Amino acid sequence: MTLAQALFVVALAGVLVAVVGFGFVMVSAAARSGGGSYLSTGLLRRLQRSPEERAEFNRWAFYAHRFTGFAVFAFLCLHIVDISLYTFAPGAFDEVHVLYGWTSMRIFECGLLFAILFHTFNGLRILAIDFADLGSRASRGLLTGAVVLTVLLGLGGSAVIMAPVFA
Amino acid sequence: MTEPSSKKIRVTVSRSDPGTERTFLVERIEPMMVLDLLIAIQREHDPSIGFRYSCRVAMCGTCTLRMDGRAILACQTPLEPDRDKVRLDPLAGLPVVRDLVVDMKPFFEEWARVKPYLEPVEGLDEPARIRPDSPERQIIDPSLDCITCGACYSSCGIADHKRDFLGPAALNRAMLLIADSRDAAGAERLDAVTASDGVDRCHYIYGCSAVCPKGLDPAAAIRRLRRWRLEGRPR
Amino acid sequence: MSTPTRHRGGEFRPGDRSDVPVRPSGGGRLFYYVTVRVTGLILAVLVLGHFAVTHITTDVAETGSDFIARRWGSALWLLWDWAMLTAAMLHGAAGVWIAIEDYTPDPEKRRRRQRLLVSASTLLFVLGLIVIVAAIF
Repeated sequence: MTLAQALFVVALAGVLVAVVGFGFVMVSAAARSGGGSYLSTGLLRRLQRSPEERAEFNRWAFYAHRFTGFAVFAFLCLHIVDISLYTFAPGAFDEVHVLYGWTSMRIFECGLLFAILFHTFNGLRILAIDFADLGSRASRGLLTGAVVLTVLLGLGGSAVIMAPVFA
Repeated sequence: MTEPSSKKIRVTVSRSDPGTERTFLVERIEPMMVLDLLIAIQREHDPSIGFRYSCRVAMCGTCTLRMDGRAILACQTPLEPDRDKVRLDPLAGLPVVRDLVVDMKPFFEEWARVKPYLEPVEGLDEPARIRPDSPERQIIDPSLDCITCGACYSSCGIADHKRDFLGPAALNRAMLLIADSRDAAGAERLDAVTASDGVDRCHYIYGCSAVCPKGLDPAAAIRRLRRWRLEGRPR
Repeated sequence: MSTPTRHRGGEFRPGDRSDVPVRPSGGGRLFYYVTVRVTGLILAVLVLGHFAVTHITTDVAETGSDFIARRWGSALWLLWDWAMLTAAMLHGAAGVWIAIEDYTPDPEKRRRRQRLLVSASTLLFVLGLIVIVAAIF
């Protein structure tokens, strides 16, 4: 492994640590003063029974939106630096770019894809809530749409990204 | 008529003093409200348990607490017949005084910030009426019955005594007063709710509207305020 | 609440009571609201397109410096990537700013973190800008 590659791996690990750390911050803030129903076995039953409980999906959408947003931004910061190698040290750029083809990186890219897709479609959902004055039920309908799109396009994209590994 | 049943329910209550009992096995009656449960604990298990209630008919907004995390009025929330355990906590986002009792002062400070009462326009007819079929009334009426119970504030997740956010109740009250043609403070109120502690700290969680025991819709009120910010007040 | 009582002499504040502290009104809120949504909409197209071009239509292993040189030979892609850089840094920084505000109750710590965010975002934006401008020549 070259120096540039090693530095990239370290930086990527740093990004992942920051993202996981942010996840912990979110979870502990939610546990302390989140205001939502506790996750428990009884919750599944209550979700089926009462529409008021199902409003909780909007809350989880908010958490997922914030988490995916932070994750993508954290990666973006690294990405700008590694692309800048193209201008300042093209040799190093190509060395680092070899890593992008590695299986572990491909898996990471699939995760990134899912994060980008959810954040995008949920963001569009928020715009729709603003423009069409949507209440809880309609917004949950859009959330289902956003999740379905995320899963379908995410799986499709992941299949393309991972295909060379199995070729 | 309530009947004693041999069924018991396991109750876990948030207690301030770590030396006090947290879990109780309480004999059910049918039907049983959460408030009945608390009174049963106080009478038969631990008289030191702290909780508030007053009217018992969802009018005063005193008995609000969280059941399995969800903000409810204890006096009007029944325990399902097949439920065998429940967890009770004080409202979220407010300082805990003891056990299930919270300090509502931060909630009412936010409430006060939007001037939650009518400031009459000069020269109104007496009595100053708004017709029941007017568009104004369609906006105001569904939002009027707030009992300041704090359920929405707890369910919000952003509203918190440590954060600067007016919160759903204050924003809902501001909205209906801004819509009121007899009110003179509309412009200043709209400024107050579109400031840094206003509508933009709402993150579309819908927790407020989901838990309001009076069926109010603070989320819709906040969406309306955002529209008025862009389009101007209704006048 | 820890903020001291403070009145901005003469100016009417709804709910002005001597015992309820007055908050300073922040100007930037509408800017934040509009920016996040406009950049978000732009990014929905630019980022999904960028990901498709670099991972789906081309295998990611073949997106080395030749691939970039070819792409940045065309003005469209340079413009695309510049717009994406600008929108993404604005959108991301605004979002993280709000998250800092929500998760840091202490005002001094919060201001420090937000200043750090702005500095880092500006630096990264300038770095990206240099790369794109350099590619024009």
